[in-house]
Formats: sequence, C-alpha cells, structure tokens
Amino acid sequence: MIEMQNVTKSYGDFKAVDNLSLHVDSGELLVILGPSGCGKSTTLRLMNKMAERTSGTIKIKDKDIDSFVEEDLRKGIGYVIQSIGLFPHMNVWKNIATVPQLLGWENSSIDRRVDELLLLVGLKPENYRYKKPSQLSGGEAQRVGVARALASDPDILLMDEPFGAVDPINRLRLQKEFRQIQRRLGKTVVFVTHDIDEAILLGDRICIMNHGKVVSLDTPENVVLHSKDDFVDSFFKGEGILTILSRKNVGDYMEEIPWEGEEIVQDSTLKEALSLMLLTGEDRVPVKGGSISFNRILQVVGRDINEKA
Amino acid sequence: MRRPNGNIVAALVLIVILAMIVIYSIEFEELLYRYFSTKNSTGSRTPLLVYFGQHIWMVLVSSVIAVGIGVGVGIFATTKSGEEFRDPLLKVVNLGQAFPSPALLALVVPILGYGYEGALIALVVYALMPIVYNVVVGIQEVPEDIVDAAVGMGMTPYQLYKKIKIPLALNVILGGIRTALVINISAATLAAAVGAGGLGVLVVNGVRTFDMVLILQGAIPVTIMAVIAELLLKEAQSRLSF
Repeated sequence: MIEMQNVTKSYGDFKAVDNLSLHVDSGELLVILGPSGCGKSTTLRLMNKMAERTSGTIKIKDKDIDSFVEEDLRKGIGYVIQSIGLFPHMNVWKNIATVPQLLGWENSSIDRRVDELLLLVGLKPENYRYKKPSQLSGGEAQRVGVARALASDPDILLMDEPFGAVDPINRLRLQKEFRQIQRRLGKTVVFVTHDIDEAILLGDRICIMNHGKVVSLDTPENVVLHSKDDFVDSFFKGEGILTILSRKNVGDYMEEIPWEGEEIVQDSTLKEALSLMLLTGEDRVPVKGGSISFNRILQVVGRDINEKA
Repeated sequence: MRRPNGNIVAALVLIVILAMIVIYSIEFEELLYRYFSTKNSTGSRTPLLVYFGQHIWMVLVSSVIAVGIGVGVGIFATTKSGEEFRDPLLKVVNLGQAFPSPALLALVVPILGYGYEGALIALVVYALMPIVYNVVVGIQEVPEDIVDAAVGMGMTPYQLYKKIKIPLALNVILGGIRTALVINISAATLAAAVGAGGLGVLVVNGVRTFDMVLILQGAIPVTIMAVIAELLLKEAQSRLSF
C-alpha cells in the first residue's frame, strides 16, 4: 500500500530521515516508534508530501506520489495530528465535512456521512453535530479528529501521536476503540508515537527509528522478546512486556483443567489474568470452561524459558 | 431572542444626536453661544451639512481605498511569494503609525498640490498602516497546527485563506480597520488645512480667530462620528468573528 525506497530528507547537513526504506501492507497498522527527534514525524509527513523528500521514491498504491497533484494526494489520505487541529470557527459537522466539501459532495450525502462517522467514533450525532470544538472535552475532540480523517473514506490514515494529548484513562479507551474501528474498516494506518505501550497495544508491526534510520521493524512480540539490537533493548528496558500480555486473549492459552473460584471470560487478556493471580495469590485462575496457570503465561512471554525449550 | 445590544443602542443614540446637530445646526450654534460667548458673533456662513458631507465622503473614500489596498498587501505579505517582503513591510508600517499626521499632510502638499486629492492620498496612506499591520499579524497568528491540519487535508492555498486563515484572522483584521477608521475621521479634520474642506474648516478657522464656538461646531460632530464608527465596528467584530 505504501512503499518507501531509500528515502532521505535533509535539512542542510542534518539528515532527519536517512536512506530509509519500508513498506506498509494493505490493512496493516504500522507503528513508528522512537525518541523525539528520531525522524518519525518527518517520515510520516513525507508520505503525504507535507514535507518534500530530498531523494528516494515513495509509492502509494503502486503510484509514485509525485504523479499526484499534491492536494489530491492529501484528500485521499486521512491525516490526524496530536493537537488535532480542529477548526475552532466551525462546528463539528463542518469540521468533519471539510474533505467531502472539498471533493464536492452533495449536502445530503455529507449529512448522512457525518452522522455515520459520529456514531462510529461513539458520539451521539444529535448531541454533537452542531457543537463548537471549544465545547468538546479532549477525548471528544480527538474522536471528532478521527471522524474527520475518515470522512471521505480514505484507504490510508496517517496519524501523528493522535492520542498524545488525552488523559491516560481516556487514552486507553480511545486506543482500544480505534483498534477495533481500524480492524473493522480494514484501513491501512501509519501511526507515529513515542509511547511504548501504545505502540505494542496497537501495532501489527512496530518500526523503531533512531537518528533517521530504521533500527528494527518487526511484530511487537519479536521486538520486545527477541530483540538482538542494543538500542532497542535499552529503549524498552524491560518495559512493554505487560502490554504484550494485554494483546493476548486468555481463551487462546487456557487449559481444560477445572478450578474453583470466580471465573473470568475467555475474552479477558493475559494481563488481566496475571493481575488476578497477583491479587488472589494463587498461580491459577478459573476461566469459563477451564483455567489458566502462571506457568502458561510464563511460557508465552518468558524469553529464557522459550529459548531453552 | 437576541437581547438589545449596548454597542448598537449607544451608536443609535449618537447617530440621532449627530443628525439633530446637523439638521438643526443654527439652533446648535445658538446653544453653543449661550455657554461660550466670544467677542466674535459671526458663526459659520456655509451650512454645517456641507462640511459634514465633505467630511464623511473623504473618510469613506479614503477608508474604502485603504481597506482594499491594505487587505490585499497584507495578505500578499503572508504568502510564500511575499515572505521576504514581510518583515521590512511590518517595520515600515510600524514606523509609519508613529509618524505625525499633520506632518504627513504637510509632506503631501508639495508633491500633489493643494486640495482634495492630496488630502485623500494622505488619509489613505495613514489608514493603510493599521490595516496592513493587523492583516499580517492576524494571519500569522492563526495557530500552526490548524494550518497544518488544513493543508494535510488537501486544501489549496486559496481554500486555506478563504476557509481557514481569513475567517480566523477576521477579528484582528476588523480591529485594524476600526483603528484606521477612527484615526481617519479625526485626521480628516486636518485636511481642511490643505484646502480639502470638511468639518476641519470650522476647527481651523476657529483656531485662527480664537472662536471657541466655531471650533466646537466642528470638533463635536467629528468626535461623535469617531465614537459611532468605533461602536459599530466593535459590534461587527464580535458578530463576525467566531
């Protein structure tokens, strides 16, 4: 879906992005993770020509991005930034309608689309349609920002720390909901963040960048558990392991051994199961239709156990 | 639904007072004589209405021209092609605002001669300063992230100005126009000194002959006009900006 080959972006002598190549598959959520100044935002902005690359080629749907008129390219790609950038002088309806209006849709179809999107991001259309951005909470504004980016039903979404300004509780909820929406709609997403947990929770693959280069590009499990790279190790410093557990469902690892106590459902995550063990002090918790043991969890994530086996 | 607005009400009251002064100018003159009796007893021979008309006309023409040029130049200075031109322009405009208006008028006369055109051009130049300044600053102050989002959504530069930058800068732009208009109403008084007519004729003659009544006959309508303009544009500002 997106293909970058040997792309470099320099500002004078400084190479913000240095000979970078990567590809994003259709329907994939690729997270670009790295410390500030590593070139992750620049990489994102190169894809919709918000920044002009110095050399290299970028293809979107097998077409060189230079073959598009800049504005047309951007209209076909959803774009969400950290501060959201909702237009303060327009109500929610007009904000979401921006791209459809640029594309010349009829008002009746825009009306339908706005309501559909508001429902999708969990806001009641009749309550929110005519609110001004100043009347929204941070989380609500972020939902409107996502709805706006999805307005013209683009195949690709570029998101630059979209949940960075939301409080932690709402952030987790937004992340989970966004992941569901993304899976359901099958959108290709490039998601920039410096939050390790967010990267692990959301990413199909994680691309770790440092000094404008890709240090590692792999699934969250491999990045956290089987990294061979010193920078990646130092960057994670053992973090993220619990988040890996929260990506996995108890149902996939449970055993059919009955166990006494209050059952958790199969959709619960391994992290929830582990938390329960720590709370109850037992190394096995009952799940509907069986149970799961502490050892089983260790086998899923314990690097040393796996390598010996 | 909409509760009566203070600015509008005040402006309406002042408009009525101003109209009364202009229509009943002879009574107004007699009233002034009662309180400011001077040795002089000859009031103005030309009806107040004529001076008033000249004054308004001068202010309107110069303001319309200044708004047209000022908004155009200001917007150009915020575009990519006008970028290098922006900082020097702001400096000139800033200095220009500090330049005394009588001096500006005095400079125009040797170049353009005595009369209406010279005064008009001086007024346009003077009104340009706050307008250009506010247009440039207003557009520059539109938050970077909002512009970023708009461009990222595929707006052309024209759409960006029309839908985002100008609406968001409107409050500041109107503020500049308001300042320009108020300055112009009072600066137009000086135009009489270069023979362009207007209410300034009364003031200038009054000063020359130490006639308090004559001065007030000119100065009071000018002041009321300036306050009306201020009130109305303030109201426009709060209605039109988000």
